[in-house]
Amino acid sequence: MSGMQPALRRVIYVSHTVTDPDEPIGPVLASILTAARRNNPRIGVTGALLYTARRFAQVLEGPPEAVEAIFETIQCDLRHDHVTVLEVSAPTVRAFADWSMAFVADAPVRAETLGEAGGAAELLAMLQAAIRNTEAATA
Amino acid sequence: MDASSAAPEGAIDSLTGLLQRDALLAALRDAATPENGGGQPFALLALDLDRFKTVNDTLGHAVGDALLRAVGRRIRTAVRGGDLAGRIGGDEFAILMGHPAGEVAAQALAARLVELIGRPFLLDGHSVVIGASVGIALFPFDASEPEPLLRCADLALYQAKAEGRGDQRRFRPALRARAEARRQMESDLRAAIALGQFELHYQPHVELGSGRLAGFEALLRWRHPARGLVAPGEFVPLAEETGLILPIGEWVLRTACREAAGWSDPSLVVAVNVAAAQLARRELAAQVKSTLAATGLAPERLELEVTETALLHDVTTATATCQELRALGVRISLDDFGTGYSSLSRLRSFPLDRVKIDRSFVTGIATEAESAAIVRAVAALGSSLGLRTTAEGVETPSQLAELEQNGCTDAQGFLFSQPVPSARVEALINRIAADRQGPGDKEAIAA
Repeated sequence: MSGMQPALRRVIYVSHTVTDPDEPIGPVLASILTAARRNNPRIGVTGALLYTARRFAQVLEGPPEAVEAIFETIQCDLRHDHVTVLEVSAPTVRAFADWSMAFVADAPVRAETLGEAGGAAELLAMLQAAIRNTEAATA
Repeated sequence: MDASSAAPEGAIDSLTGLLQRDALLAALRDAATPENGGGQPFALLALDLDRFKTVNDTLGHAVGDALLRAVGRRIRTAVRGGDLAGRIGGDEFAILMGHPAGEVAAQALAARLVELIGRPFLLDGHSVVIGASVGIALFPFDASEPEPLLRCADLALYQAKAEGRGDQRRFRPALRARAEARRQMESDLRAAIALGQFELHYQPHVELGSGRLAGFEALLRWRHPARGLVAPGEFVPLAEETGLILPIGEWVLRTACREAAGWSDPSLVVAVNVAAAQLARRELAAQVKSTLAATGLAPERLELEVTETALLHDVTTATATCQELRALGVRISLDDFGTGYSSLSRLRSFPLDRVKIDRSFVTGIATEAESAAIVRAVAALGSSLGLRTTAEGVETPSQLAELEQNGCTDAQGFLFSQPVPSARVEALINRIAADRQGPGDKEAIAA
């Protein structure tokens, strides 16, 4: 029964990078992912980050307090703006159970559709597919 | 260095981690006083959250507190080292920017605050979006004393809020003059009832077809000792903001009923405008009942005009109040129809007797097909719902002809008469009766 399991929270948001377009984004992404992969396992948070066409999309899932705390830290980051929350939910299972923070770059999703209704489900499905492909390729 | 490390422990607001009000004001006094090491130019920002109350009301105080905690964190993220941030009221904050802090630095910080606080908060499973408005005052340019400087920042903040929120404004001396004028008007307005400076003017409304005078709308005027006759548009918004609209509205109701009871023609109706704040109170029906009893006016002769915007405040209370009023025999009409948040379903569900079509549609009726189409549609709708339809602002015979053709039942406007003082109502009753050419060719009125 789901009632026996600890509560899960999932939040999906999109935002725009405000880094200089002429500067390589690599170091920024590396620092975001390094911090996430260092901190998330300790607090039971998993998720995925997408970067495409100067937009970020991120899925965070885990214990509600941990997800809300991490989300708040991310909101205080001045390297992005135009933050829009697409989904806040209480799923029964994690979508990225094996990933402290999976990363997908230049995914086949139009940036404009991210903010639309149904964008959250589309994004989630796309990220899961992209990660399955990566796993298959490296298996 | 942030607020918490710069201040003694007791001076910190435990919820937000920012300085408490007294500590911030003490720091402000020091910054403005050369003897205490201050006197250098600095900036003071006043910040207020937009929609905080809504979050508190809908999600509860625990979420409201969590929100304030997160706002405190975002403010601490936005400020520079050496800036002091404090919480000076429920959801009001102030930031003292240390030297150097000119206009450019202050505006940059204000923009950072507005951006950060405008981002979503995730609280107890809800994504919450609020906003922040910021007012900026510079020491010593805007004021060289701490309290006046804070007032400057507050005035700039009010301006930011008045101009749409979620933005920043720098203090300007004109804001002080405007605030002073407003304060003066508020105190004049408080005195106006007791000093007998209000009066009612009456504008006739006429039945189309027969040309018969149906009644008058009572319109409030303020005879100000220095400014002369002041139109409602200049003082009613302030009266609504300050709550003075309640005693003023009560005076209007009482006076209109008393004056109408004295008219020579006992069939004439008097229409009285009711403000949103009056409609939101359950005692309106009782107040009307006792006023009718005291003045001897028959309930059928009183019509209360409500606006759609007033209904929006609390539709449930407004509906109940209007049902009670109609049970007394008083009629209800919907004013300015077509301007605010017009809703056709409201015409069906709200207890109404009349719809008044806003003058903006009447003005163009003889020249624009679109205006005529709208008037025709509203008149037809009114007719099939059993409502009378009054066109407001009728100025020309060709507009009148169009209105008759399009099925309106009544009209009001300069074509018949301007609003006249109470003393000239009898003369107007006689004139309109004389203007009617005999009994008139009684056209069928859609009703």
